[in-house]
Amino acid sequence: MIWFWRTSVIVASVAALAFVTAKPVPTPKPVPALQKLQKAAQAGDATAMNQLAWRYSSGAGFPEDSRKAFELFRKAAEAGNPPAMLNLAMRYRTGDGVPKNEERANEWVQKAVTSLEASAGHGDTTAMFALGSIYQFGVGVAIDQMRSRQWLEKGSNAGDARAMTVLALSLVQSDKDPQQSFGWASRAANAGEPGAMRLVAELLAAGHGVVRDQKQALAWLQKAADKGDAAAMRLLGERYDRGEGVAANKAEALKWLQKSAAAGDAAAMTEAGMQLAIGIGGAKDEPEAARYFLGAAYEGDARGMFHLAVALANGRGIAKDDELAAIWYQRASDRGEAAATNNLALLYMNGRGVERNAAEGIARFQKAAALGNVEAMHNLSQAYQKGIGVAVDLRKADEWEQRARAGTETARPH
Amino acid sequence: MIAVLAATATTSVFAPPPPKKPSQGGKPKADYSDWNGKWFVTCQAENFVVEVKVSNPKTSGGHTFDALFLPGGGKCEIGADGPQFRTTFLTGVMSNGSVSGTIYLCTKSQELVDKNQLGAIFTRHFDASYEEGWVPGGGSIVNAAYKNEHYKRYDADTQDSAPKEPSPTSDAYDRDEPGDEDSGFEMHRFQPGVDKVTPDEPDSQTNPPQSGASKIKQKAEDITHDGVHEWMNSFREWLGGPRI
Repeated sequence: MIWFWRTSVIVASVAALAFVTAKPVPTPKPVPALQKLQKAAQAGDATAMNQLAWRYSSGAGFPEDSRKAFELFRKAAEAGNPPAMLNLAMRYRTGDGVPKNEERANEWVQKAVTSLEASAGHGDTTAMFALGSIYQFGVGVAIDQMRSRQWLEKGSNAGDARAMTVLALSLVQSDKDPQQSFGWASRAANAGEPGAMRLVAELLAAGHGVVRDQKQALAWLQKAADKGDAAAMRLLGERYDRGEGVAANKAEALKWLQKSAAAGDAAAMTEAGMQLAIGIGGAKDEPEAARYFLGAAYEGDARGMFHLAVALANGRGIAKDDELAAIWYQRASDRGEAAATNNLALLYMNGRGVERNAAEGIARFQKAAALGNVEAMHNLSQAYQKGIGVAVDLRKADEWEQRARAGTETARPH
Repeated sequence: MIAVLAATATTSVFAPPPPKKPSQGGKPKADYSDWNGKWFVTCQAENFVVEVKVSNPKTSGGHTFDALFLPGGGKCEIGADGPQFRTTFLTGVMSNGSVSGTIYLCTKSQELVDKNQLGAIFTRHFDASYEEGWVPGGGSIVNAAYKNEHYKRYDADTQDSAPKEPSPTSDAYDRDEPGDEDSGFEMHRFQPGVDKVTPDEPDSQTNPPQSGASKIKQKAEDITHDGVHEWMNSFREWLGGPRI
């Protein structure tokens, strides 16, 4: 069973990190769109209440207030809003803004499912999609892929393109009937669903359930991009970059990455930034690259965070700031970026942006090395060889050097 | 000691700083040990990993520079004798901020193979310089030039681009490599998990080439991963929450 509250936990840790720099953290003030949301909620609009509750829960546009979030979820749930019922159930289960209460949690999950089943019985395909998702991800209930697929099939047979897309996805995931998965993806794509067009493109490129056809894959990506799908634009850029289904063209690749970035795709922001930082597909432009990294980082892209940190640590395209670099390395590291973990270790070793702490540095080198980062392996080797942060141990130094040279991706310290 | 190194280290506190180009007034690097290992290459629109070997890396002066393909890599698909696997990618000498030698390239034009019976692999003289990259792993090789020969289709009417020597097989075409631009070349230390190789290329000695079936399975998993992430976001939107 998984829960969806992790964002708020991340936001909280980010806020805590911000205090490390002793830089002022301004109190967010509601902007006009949020004021509209507030007015609608005050007028009794349950959907607005539910959305506003999320805002208070994550501190997006308002000071974070889990108690206020809970109250809004409760009001919206009592007004009959199924998403709010599930959100309320999760609050009771996790004790966020209210004392934990498993019984209440189960009650509200049951109410949400009953309400959705009633709507689905009247042909509401959004309710079918929601039920399929609830059982797929185990939101408040045990994971039940069979039941999930039944609801998605109902939605698909009722002509809902979104249900068709996720049904295709579910079938690809189970690897049971590739032809059927391609069939549902095709139907959804032909119905104009951009996500399905992308899925069809991926299936064609992989030859999954269909004869491999890179040119058709590219054509579907182009269709999705023409409909404004940011991810499709990024994938097009990547295909031009690698010359898949089309002649390699770095300038065209950069153009699509920038389009995708402008449409809000965080991964594309990072990739466009990397191209501009090096000068591939266009003139080298480090300030523009740093702007892309900044955008990607704020959108939550771990690689974007890492590259922003590198830019900050080296003053490349952005003012040098070791403290901020450390914060962004930390955030990227928290999201599994081994290179960021290694670089953060270096800051600890050198006392740059953070207080010097060799033990912290060594621990992070080991973490990065365990994730396969070759630089961290080199650094550990040097540390053991020279006795920096650890006792001199030539055997371990040699072991880490050997691992680094082999580029072993699953190396772990003995 | 650490404090002394701090000013230059980006990714390795212990390693000496990457070499500066002669035009920047930097001293030639005295230790190239950190160049030995896996490098990530983009060339002829393909991404692959090579093993770089620099001779006598701890001495000053010139060094031999060899970049070898990993086992199973460097495949040249087309050509009269194709497919062929290259073992060497680059072999040359590095000195004073530049690398010069021979690059081994794949024939890319089926049309030219048909007309001229070209071999799958051909070589060119290679010149490049290097500079400090800002991705981890030290220097990257840039400003590569290796197309010192460039033939075009022979136009009988204008007699434009006539080859310097008569073609042994046909006078309709001579060698050209469409889409093979020098500017598409880039080479830096391999970053596992960051650098992505072209399918069919091995990215590490610990990862032998996959079978066709397992490649398709891997690709299916990739599709699922991205799609499920989007599905979750779509569901989160229904819940009223932000995307992740």
